[in-house]
Amino acid sequence: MILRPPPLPLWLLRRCLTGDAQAGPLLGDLHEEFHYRARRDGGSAARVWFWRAALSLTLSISAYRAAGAVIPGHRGIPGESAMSNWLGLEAVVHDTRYATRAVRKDWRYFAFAVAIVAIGVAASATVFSLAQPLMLRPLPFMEPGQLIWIANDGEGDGMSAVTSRTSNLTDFRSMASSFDGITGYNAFFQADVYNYIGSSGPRRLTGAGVAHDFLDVLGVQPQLGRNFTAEEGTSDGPLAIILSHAFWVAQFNSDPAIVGTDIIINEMPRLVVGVLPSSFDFASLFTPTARVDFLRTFPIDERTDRWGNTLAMIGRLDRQASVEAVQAELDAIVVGLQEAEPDRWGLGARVSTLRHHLAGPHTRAMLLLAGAAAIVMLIVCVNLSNLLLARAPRRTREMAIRAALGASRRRLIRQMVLESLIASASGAAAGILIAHQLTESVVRRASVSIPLLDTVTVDGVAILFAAGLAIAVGVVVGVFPALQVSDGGSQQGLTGSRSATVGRRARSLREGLVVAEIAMACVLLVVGGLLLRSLQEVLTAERGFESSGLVAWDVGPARDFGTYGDEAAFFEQLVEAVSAFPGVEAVGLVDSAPLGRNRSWSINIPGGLPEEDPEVHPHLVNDTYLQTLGIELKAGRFFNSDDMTIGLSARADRFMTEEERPESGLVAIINETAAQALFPGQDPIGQYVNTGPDWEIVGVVADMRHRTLEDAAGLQLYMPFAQNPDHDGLSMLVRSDLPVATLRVQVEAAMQAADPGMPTGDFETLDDVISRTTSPRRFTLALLGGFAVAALLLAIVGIYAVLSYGVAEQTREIGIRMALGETAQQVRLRIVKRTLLLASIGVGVGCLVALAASTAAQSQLYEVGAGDPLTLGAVATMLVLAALAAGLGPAIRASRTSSIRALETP
Amino acid sequence: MARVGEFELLVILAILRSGEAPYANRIREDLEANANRAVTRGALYRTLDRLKNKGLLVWEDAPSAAPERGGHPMRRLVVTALGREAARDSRDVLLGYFEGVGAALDGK
Repeated sequence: MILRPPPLPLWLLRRCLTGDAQAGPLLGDLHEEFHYRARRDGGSAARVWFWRAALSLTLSISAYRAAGAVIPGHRGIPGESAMSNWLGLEAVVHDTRYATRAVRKDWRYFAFAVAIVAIGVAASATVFSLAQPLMLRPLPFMEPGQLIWIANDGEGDGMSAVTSRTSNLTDFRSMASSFDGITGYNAFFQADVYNYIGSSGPRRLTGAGVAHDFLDVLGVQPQLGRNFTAEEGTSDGPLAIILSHAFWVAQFNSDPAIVGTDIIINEMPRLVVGVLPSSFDFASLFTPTARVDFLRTFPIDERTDRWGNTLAMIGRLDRQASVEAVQAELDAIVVGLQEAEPDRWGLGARVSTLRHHLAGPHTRAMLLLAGAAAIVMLIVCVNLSNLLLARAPRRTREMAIRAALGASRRRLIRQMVLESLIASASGAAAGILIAHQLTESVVRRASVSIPLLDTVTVDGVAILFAAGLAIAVGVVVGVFPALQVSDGGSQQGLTGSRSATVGRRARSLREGLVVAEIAMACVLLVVGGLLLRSLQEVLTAERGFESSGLVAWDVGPARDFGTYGDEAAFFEQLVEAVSAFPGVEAVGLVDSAPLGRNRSWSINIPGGLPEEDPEVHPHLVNDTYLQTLGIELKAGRFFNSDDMTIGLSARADRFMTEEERPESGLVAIINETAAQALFPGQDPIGQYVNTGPDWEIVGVVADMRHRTLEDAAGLQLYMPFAQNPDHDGLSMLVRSDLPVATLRVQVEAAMQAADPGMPTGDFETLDDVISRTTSPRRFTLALLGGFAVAALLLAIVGIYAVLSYGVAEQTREIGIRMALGETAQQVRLRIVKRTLLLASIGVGVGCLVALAASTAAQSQLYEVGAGDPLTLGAVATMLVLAALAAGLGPAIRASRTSSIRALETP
Repeated sequence: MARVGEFELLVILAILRSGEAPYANRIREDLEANANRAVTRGALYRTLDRLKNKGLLVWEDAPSAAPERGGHPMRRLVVTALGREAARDSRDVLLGYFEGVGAALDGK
């Protein structure tokens, strides 16, 4: 197999050389040299060489182009240009050599400039890379712009409010003309249990149920095999699955022969008909933080329609159709269907682009981060300008000499800009490396629930973006001091003298820049502070249950049970076995662990009130669940073991017909919010709620935040799982002080003993669950907080640099003042006062801007107002103190000025 | 009078020796293997440029199907009549100078 040069630098170089007659032979020679080196020194050394050669060429050529200079040897006529000029770039080397000499003479300045540009570029490139897959790059489908998301327009914010019944899909498919296709997937697939016995023992798999034409509508071609057929999409069709790429690689070692064979899942053979391409990761797109091992078909028929709102619908627009036109068409269809069938429920359609659906919830956070990165970059520019302005007087003399010796002004400007470019390009290179590390660490934290985050890389586009940014910074920041300095061909430049007016003007300019810096850092710190306060509020909000010491196991028995009673008994025995372990305080069962599932059921109250059927979040639990979570009982009683034996279905399919249901004995517990909403002013105990059968309310418990930590509890209904078999598998919550590793061994042994075919490895501590659900918030905060700290440091450095320079510049003035009687303390006080003045103006302006900025960031805040006085006060104090600390050094140095020496200074 | 330096002469000779494959990378491999010199790409290309500017060398793009070149064309190097003459002159000057110094050269 022929070795290839690394694609990224090659791509960069190609972009750089596009449309150039020299490109072909040059690229060919580089290729050949790469192979030559690979043979001689090995592949890795050759790759390193290629990176270096390609990057140095790209940077040199870009630098020349940016400086507006004619690239040496390049005259645009094929065959005319010289070879070595491309590769050696002799003239670049000549000019660059002069610039590097200048840089070497002043290496402290250079190192500092590189460091601050690196910070700015790292921030910008990181945010750019993070935003790319979700907001900039096309989604990994064919013609992704034509894909739209069709949500239901149900009440409430549960997932059931945005998903649809399968009959909606069937009707939309047959009646809407603006689509090339409409498809969907079962949005509640994560609750399905799939046990698979692989080479490493039983394992629980996640399979997403999709309509048979799901991949066709998205335009995704399986990497191997084929898509589902219509027959496989029916309830009684053959069982077929398509493996995810990651699962295929991990479990089957990328064996292509797996396609066409059966694998046993839940003791049923399923035909592997295909393998998804690596570019399409279902989970990464639609259910970030979850894992999807395979796709199976989800039948679109009357049976699944009875399950209620289950489908997430995606449509592919006809090329001529617009989103608005589709919305209008679907509105008309919905009205028509509802009129024809007034009792039909769950009918509705709200259309948005698929990108908007995926990116929408994160757009504001990304924009906030982009804004923060832009501010960091601006502070970097201000700092750099300040540095260059501070260096300007020294350079003026040097430039005046060069001008006197015949250098043109253009040449001098180019020279200065090149110096600035060297610093910014080196900074950009370091910044890209930092950005690479940063994004890697973000991507590796797989528990951040932002779509496509795992595809984030600092790729060629991001590197180009960073390089462009660095060049822009280099030119913009370099050109103004260059204009100022290169104007020094006059007598003034040669003599080195400057009028007092020029000095004062330069100083006010520098101080103005410092004020701007403090103001910008203030904005970032305030927004970061508000986000931190929000996270704190979220984490300390009353959630209604105690998370520490709780671990949740997914329990999905692999074996078949004769009756639901047997199945219930199996679970109860498992609970008993685990409860008996020393160190285990309590064990409970629930069909959806806290913060794990998002669903709602419509219920009604026998007797009429309220008018609209309210939506409740149902929990199917055992008699110890509420106590295990530490949910407080407010009225009535908890479930008891008797409740766990009533109404058990004797049928193998678990479900009972109306006739088989017991007349009484079905009991439920509601939360306080439900009690107030459903039975205002009454005692809810002894009342009934209806979900089909009637449930007698026997208890009222405290509210518990089950969906997110941010949202209030809403209406909750707890039912014994024994009385309602509408679940797939259960979660077992174990409360214990034992270390998780110890507990795990015990619990897994008990699970193995109960059912050797049952996977045991799916567990999570509730603290981890909480950390995952707050991950987007932490993610934004971590990045923005980092930027804010960088901004603060940059501002401190900026203040220090400007004051130090000011003191050095005023040595003579300070000396005279001291000779005339000013004391050291007065000198210190004057400089400290000046620092305080600058800091206060900066903080004042910053707080005003921060107020506006945090209003824009309101959606990211929780229980904290945009003008939170605590945050504003803390930031203002911190900035003023930081400014004081930065100003103290120069102030002390100034107060030690010796009058005699100062007066001797020219 | 010799019009070329030592390395330039070696490059011209390497091109003349290369027969069917007068390409920069071949020349470099030849020089490294047979002239006992480590040749950097930059130095070779600069020399090629100098020789071209002196009129001792021309080049033309030639398509290449070699997989190692990734489908990119190559530059076929051709020594001009002037170049051959310069090489001959150098040879004559050198040989003339070596004549009669055999014993002194070997330190005998």
